[in-house]
Amino acid sequence: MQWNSTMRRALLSAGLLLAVADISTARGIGPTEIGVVVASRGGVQVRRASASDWKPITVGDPIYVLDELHSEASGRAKLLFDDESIVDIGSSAAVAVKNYAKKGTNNVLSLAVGRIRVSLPESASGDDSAFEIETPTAVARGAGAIFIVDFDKGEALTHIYAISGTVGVQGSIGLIGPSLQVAAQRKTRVQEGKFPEPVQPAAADELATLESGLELIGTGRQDGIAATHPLLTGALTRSDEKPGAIAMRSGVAPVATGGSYLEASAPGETLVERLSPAVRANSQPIPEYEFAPPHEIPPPSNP
Amino acid sequence: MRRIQLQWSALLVVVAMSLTTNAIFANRAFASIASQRYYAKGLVPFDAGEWERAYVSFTNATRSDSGDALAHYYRGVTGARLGFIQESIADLEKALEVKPDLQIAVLDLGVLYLEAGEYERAESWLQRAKEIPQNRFQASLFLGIANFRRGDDVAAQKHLRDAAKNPRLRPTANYYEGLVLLRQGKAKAAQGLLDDAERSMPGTELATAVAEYKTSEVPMAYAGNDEKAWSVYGELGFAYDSNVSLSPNSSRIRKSRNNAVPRIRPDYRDASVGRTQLGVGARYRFLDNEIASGAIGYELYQDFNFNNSDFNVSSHRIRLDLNSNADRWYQVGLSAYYNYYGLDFSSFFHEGTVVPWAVFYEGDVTATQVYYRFRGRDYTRQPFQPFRDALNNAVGVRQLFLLGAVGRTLSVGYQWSDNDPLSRDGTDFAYQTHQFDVEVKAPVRDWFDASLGYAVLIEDYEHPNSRTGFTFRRHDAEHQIVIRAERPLTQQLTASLDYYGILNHSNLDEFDYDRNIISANVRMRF
Repeated sequence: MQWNSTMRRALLSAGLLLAVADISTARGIGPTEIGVVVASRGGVQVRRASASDWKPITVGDPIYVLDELHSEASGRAKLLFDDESIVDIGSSAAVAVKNYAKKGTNNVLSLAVGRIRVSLPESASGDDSAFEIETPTAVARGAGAIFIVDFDKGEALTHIYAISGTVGVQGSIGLIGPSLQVAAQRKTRVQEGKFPEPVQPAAADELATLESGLELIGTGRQDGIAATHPLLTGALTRSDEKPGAIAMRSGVAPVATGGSYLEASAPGETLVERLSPAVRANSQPIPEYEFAPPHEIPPPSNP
Repeated sequence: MRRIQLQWSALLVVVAMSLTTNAIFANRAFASIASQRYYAKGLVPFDAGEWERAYVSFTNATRSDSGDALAHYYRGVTGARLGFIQESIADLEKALEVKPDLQIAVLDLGVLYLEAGEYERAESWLQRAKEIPQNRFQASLFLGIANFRRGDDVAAQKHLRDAAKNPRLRPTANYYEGLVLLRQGKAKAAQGLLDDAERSMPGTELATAVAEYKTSEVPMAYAGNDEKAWSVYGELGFAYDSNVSLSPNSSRIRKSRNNAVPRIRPDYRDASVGRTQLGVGARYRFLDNEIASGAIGYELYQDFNFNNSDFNVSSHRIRLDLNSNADRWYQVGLSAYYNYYGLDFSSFFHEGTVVPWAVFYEGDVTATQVYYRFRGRDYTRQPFQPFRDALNNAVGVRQLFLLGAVGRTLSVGYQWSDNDPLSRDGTDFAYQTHQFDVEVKAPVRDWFDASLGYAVLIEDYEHPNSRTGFTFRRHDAEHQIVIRAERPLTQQLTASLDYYGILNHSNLDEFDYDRNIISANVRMRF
């Protein structure tokens, strides 16, 4: 009964969405923005529903329903959705916004490969979050929870790690019945065609390693004070740090002529001659010429 | 009763869970959901430069979770842009307290302390930042500025030169090193650095400040030369010389190539020596105005070989250098020196040399030098007097290149010379020389300044040589190799370690020799 109800709702939502999309397109109305890129680093691309090509994302770019995103080996991104869900996309990952209705139900983010971290807001009604993370083998949801979902495409295996709050996990084949509850600092995994495995503790260092692989500081650019300091772009922060002011205090006038950085020295000697008087002093074997002067043939030895 | 037990059990479970949760959260690497939300919301206006909006979001994040290190860091970074320096320092310190491995905050905290004028704390944090490889050059730049503001010019220069190795930081580092040099009164040395900064950042405040300085009418006397008029130095060194007497490589008496009859080998005693080397010198700049500079100098060198005093060398050099001050396009000069050499404390020879030269600058980083050299040499004792007395004429050209930074140079040169003995019996020493050489000078990290030199002198003797019974001519190819590492120990004291290799290949065995010298010296200069 519940399955039928869920299916009906899903089909109705999909049909409605398609209808809205058709109407929007027909009337020239753009798609509804449902989120924004708040951080990005390395290569992360988006493909809009209405386009066939991939384009790189930057901070401030909107997210629309049916958008697909994929990250390269060095790519990471952070998305903030209108319902205040936050999704951190790790490297070599592919996600798609399959369905999204603002403050609605059945908001679905699909993870085709890779790892993401999800931070879901508390539900106003106290129910499970309307935001679901779906992989080919599992579905995870949990209002007020922070969790990591990792899908290994080669193994067809989903790992789910709960960092805080409680995450409800179901296998893709069994959306009927209650989900497996994974509490904070616990984990489970779901193989293709299977139900979730029993919950196990997640080691703190294991979680820390997973977190660090998803961490994206700030906007992903060089935001720091040092990196963006005005001095690096030629602005002066102190009026007394000008050559004229320093020279005036030091009693030094500017050099009258322009010039090169190169300073030529007096030529005519090789480097070793310049550095070593001992070498410079002599370059002919004195004993040879003491033995026989330069204008004489050296005497033969006795046989 | 059972109900009370259940209540106590439930309470214990709650307490235990609470303690566990607290323990977990105390070491957590993540912030609360609300904090993350505000933090993420702040990043978009932050990226757009809307500092006030970003600051509000980050403040909400820190209020939602005072243990959110990134929220504190970004509020600090945003606050710094709004001028809240002290508040930003507090935020960054909090961020590092929560997340000590937040490396970027270490560097930024140092910069904030620098902005606040707290130089000791700034240096402490910047030194820590410098140990993080990706922060090294930025940390060096701000360490240089901190030391400049504190008045420590030596430390400032050291750090700024390190920072200048990074192309992005080079203009700012050069600008501040220019200021350091100006403060020391070294306008000429500052000029190149300031010019580089001006050219690298056209249209900026920095470039404008340099341009204003260069065009300012300063009511002071010309002070283009940086060093004081007088300088003196003393030098002490120890050396190993593998072949002080230029003993031939072949120990046999051969007649192979010259067909000469076998003969008695000359007595090459104690060719390999250790020695002490002493040097003193002085220089005085007697002319220094907008048109020209002139200086005279005197250098004395004396060495003491431990086991063969026959080759103790004494050298006295008096030199005169005159040159025009460098125009943007060219410079001309004239150097002249008189050398007197003694062996074992008795006169050996003396010579006078005059070298007029000109340098043509092709932009800022290459230059061509051309010169003519005249030398007259007079030997005062046997066995060379009078046979090696000669006039020597040479012309040469040298191309100089700057290798990406001030102080890194490459030069290549060619010289042709003709040695013309004055004595009719001096035909053994009539020769023409083609000389090719290359020199590279560059600092090696912070360790030392390196000089590498190689020269090959192709010597074509013009007459049949006496060693061959005057049957055929001598041909030599002399290879000279120099490797020098020099490191300033203090402002006055410099240490150097040198290797000189002389490999003279000759078609006559008598002149085919190798000479290797390793020398360690310290020089005190005032």
